[in-house]
Amino acid sequence: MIAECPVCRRPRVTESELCSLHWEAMKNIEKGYEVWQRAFGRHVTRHDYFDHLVRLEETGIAVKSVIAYMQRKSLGAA
Amino acid sequence: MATTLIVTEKPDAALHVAEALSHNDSPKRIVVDGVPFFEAHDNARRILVCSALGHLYGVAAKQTHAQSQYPIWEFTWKPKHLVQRGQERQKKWLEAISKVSEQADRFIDACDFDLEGSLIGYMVLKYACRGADQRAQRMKFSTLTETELRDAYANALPSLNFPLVFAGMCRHEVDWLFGINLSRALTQSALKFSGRYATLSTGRVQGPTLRFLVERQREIEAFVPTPYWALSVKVEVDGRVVAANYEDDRLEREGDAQEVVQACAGKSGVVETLDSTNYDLAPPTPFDLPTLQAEAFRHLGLSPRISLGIAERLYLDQLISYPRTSSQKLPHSIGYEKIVRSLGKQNNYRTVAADLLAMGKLVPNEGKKDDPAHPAVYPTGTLPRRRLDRREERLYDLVVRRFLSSFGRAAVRRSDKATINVADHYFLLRGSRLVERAWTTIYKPYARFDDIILPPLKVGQPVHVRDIQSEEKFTQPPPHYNPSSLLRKMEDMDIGTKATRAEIVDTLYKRGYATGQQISSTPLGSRIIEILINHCPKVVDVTFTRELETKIEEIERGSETREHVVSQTLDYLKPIIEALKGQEKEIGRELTALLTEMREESTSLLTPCPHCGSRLKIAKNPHTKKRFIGCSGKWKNNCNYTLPLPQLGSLNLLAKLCPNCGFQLIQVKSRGRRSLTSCSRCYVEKARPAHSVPELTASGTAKRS
Repeated sequence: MIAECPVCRRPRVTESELCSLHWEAMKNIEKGYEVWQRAFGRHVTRHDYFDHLVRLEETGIAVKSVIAYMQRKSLGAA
Repeated sequence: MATTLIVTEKPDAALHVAEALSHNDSPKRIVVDGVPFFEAHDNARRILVCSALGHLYGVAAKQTHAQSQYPIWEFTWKPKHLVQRGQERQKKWLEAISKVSEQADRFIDACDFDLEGSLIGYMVLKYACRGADQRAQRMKFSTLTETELRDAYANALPSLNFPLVFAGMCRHEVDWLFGINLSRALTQSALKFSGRYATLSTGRVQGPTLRFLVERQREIEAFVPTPYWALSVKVEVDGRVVAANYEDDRLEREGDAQEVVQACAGKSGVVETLDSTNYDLAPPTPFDLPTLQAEAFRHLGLSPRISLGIAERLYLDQLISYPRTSSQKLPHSIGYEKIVRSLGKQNNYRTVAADLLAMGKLVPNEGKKDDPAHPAVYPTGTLPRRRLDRREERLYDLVVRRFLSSFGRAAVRRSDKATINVADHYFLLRGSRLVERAWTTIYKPYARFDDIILPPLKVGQPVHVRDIQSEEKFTQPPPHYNPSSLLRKMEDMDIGTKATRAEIVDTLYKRGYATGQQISSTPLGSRIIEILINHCPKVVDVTFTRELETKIEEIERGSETREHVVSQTLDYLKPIIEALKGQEKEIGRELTALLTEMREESTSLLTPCPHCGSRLKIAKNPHTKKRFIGCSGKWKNNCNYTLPLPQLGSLNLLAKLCPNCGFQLIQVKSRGRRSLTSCSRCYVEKARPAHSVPELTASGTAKRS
C-alpha cells in the first residue's frame, strides 16, 4: 500500500507526508514566511500570514490547499 | 502526343499552375474517375496538372499486428487508404493519378518546396507513377503568380531535391516509431491493469512540449506571493504636476518605504541631472512564419494554427508568398518596386506606396534568419479576386504593412531622463517620444508607442513633492503560456519545425492535456508527464528531440543519412520501450488510478469536509433526485455534513477557492442565462467561521498543541 498525500491522495514523497506538488507548495510557504517577516519588520503570526495568502489571487491553488489542510488539522486537534 | 504530368500539393495550386502555363487560354478541366486534372499546352506538348490531397502515403508497420502489440520496429510506407479508415477519396485520387501517369513521358514535381511538400511529390511519383521520381524534374517557386510559375516551369530543376525528401521521410519515420510505441505502452499498461480502454498518447515533440506546460503550471500552483512596496510620487515642476518614480522600483521592506515617504512628503528638491538621448528604431524585419504567428496572435488575437491556415489560403489565392518559411530575407529578384507599385493600386496603401517609391532605391531591413527554400513572407501585389473575409483581410493587411514598413526609414525616438534630489532621495522623471515617425506610420496599427512628454526642465530647478504614497504590492506568479509564447518556447528550445509546432499545440488540446487560451495543463496532462518522468524521463527530455532536429537538418544539407538517423533513433528508443514494458504493471496501476480519479474529479470537491476531513462529493438523493454536496465519510465517520446546490443548470467545479472561507467555488450555467459563481458554504453559513491555524513543521505536518 503506497502512502497517500492527505491533500490530494497522490503518492507521498519520502521527505514528507505530502505529494511532490504539495510538498513544493509547503516549502514555498515556509520560505515565503521568512520573506514576509523580513518585509514587515515585525512578527507576523502564521494565522495572519495564512489569512493573507488565502485571500490573495496570486497565491497558487496548491498553496491554498495546503493551508486548508493545515487549518483542518488544527480543527481536528482542537 | 508527348505529355508532361505535373504534380502539385493541393487542387487550388494545380489550377493556378495550369492557368499560368495556358498563357491566354483557360486550362481545360478533365475529370478521370471523379478526379480533376487540368490540361494546358506548351507548343506540341500536352501538360496535365494534377494534385495530391496532402499526404497520400504514410508510415505503417511492415507486418499486420494486433492493435495491442508493441514494440514495433519494422516499418514501411503505404498508401494512407490501406492503413487509415475513411480515406476512400485518397484511394480514388491515387488510382486516377496512376492511370493518367501512363500517358506521360515527362514528370514534374510542383509541390511546395519544403520538407513536407517534397515528400508528398516524391511518394506520388515513386509509387503512383511507378518510379517516375528518378527522372522527374522539380519546379521551385514561392508564389503562385503567373510570372513565377512560368519561370519555374521554364527553368525546372533537373531532379527532385532528394536530401529534402529523405529528411522528410526520416522525420515521419522517427515520429511514427516514437508515437506508436510510446502511446501503445501507455494505453496497454492501463488496459492490462484495469481492463478498461483509454486512448493515451505521447510523442517525440508532444511529450517535451507538454512538459513545458506542466512545469509552468506547477510553478503557478505552488506560488507564494511576497510583499513589496512601490512609491508613487507626484512632483510639481514649474506649476505642472508630473508623476515620478523612486530610484528603486520596488522596496522589499515596508519600513524602508515609510522612511522615504516621511523624509520626502511635502518637501522640496531640485533637478540634479538631465539627460536626453536620441536613438534609432530600425524598421521591422520581413516576416518569417513564427514572427507572423506571434504578431497575428498579439494584434489580431489569432491562434498560430488559425493564422497559418489563413496565410495558406492567401498563398493559394496568389496574394502572398509561401508562408511556411524561416527566412527574414527578401531577395531583390522578387521585384520590390513592382510589388510596391502594385500594392499602391489598393486604396489602403496608395499614399504609403507612393512615399516609398519617392524614396528612390528600396532596401528592406532584413533579419538574420534565412531559409534556403523560400524568402520571407511578402505580398505578391496581386489584387484579391474574391472578397476576403474579415480575418483574411486583417492578416493580409498585417503582411502588407510589415512588408512595406521593412523598406521604411529608421524612426527616431527621444528619451529624456531627469534626476530629482529630495532630502537625498532620488526620483526619476522619464519621458520618451517619437521625433521621427518614419516606418511607424506605415506599420501604425501594429506599432504602438506611447509618448510621454516632460515639461521643460533645467538643472537646479526647484521641484516640490505634491504627493508621495507607498503602495503595498505582491510578486506575481509566472504567466501561463499562450499559443504564441508556447510556440516561441518550442522554437527557442529547438523542438518541432515551423510547419508542425502549431499542430502539436493543437494536439495537446485535442488529447485533453491542455486547456484555455492562457494554457493550463489539465490534471490528465500533468499526471501523464509525472508518470513519464518517474518511469522514463528520457521520453520527455528535450535533449534527444533537439539533437534529432539537428540531424534532420544535416540530412537536408546532405551531410547525414536518413538510414543512420533512423538506426540511432532505434538504438535510443529500444531500451526506453523495453524499460516501459518491464514497468507495465506499475505504470498501469498509476494510470488506472489517474483515470479513476479523473472520473471522480468531475464530482469531487478539492476542499474537504469541515467536520470530518473526508472528501466532499456532488451526490444525488435517490428518492427526490435532488443534487447536493455530501460527505464521503458518511458511513465511515457517521458524518452527515451536507450543503445545498442549485437544482437547475450544469455545475462546474472551479479551480478557485472562496476568498471568504476558502471553500471551492462552483459555477452554474443555464441556457440563456449568465453563469453564476457561488460558495455553497458561505451560502449556508452566511458568516466566515474563525479558523485557528496550526504551526507548521519542516516536514509539512501540523504540530498539535
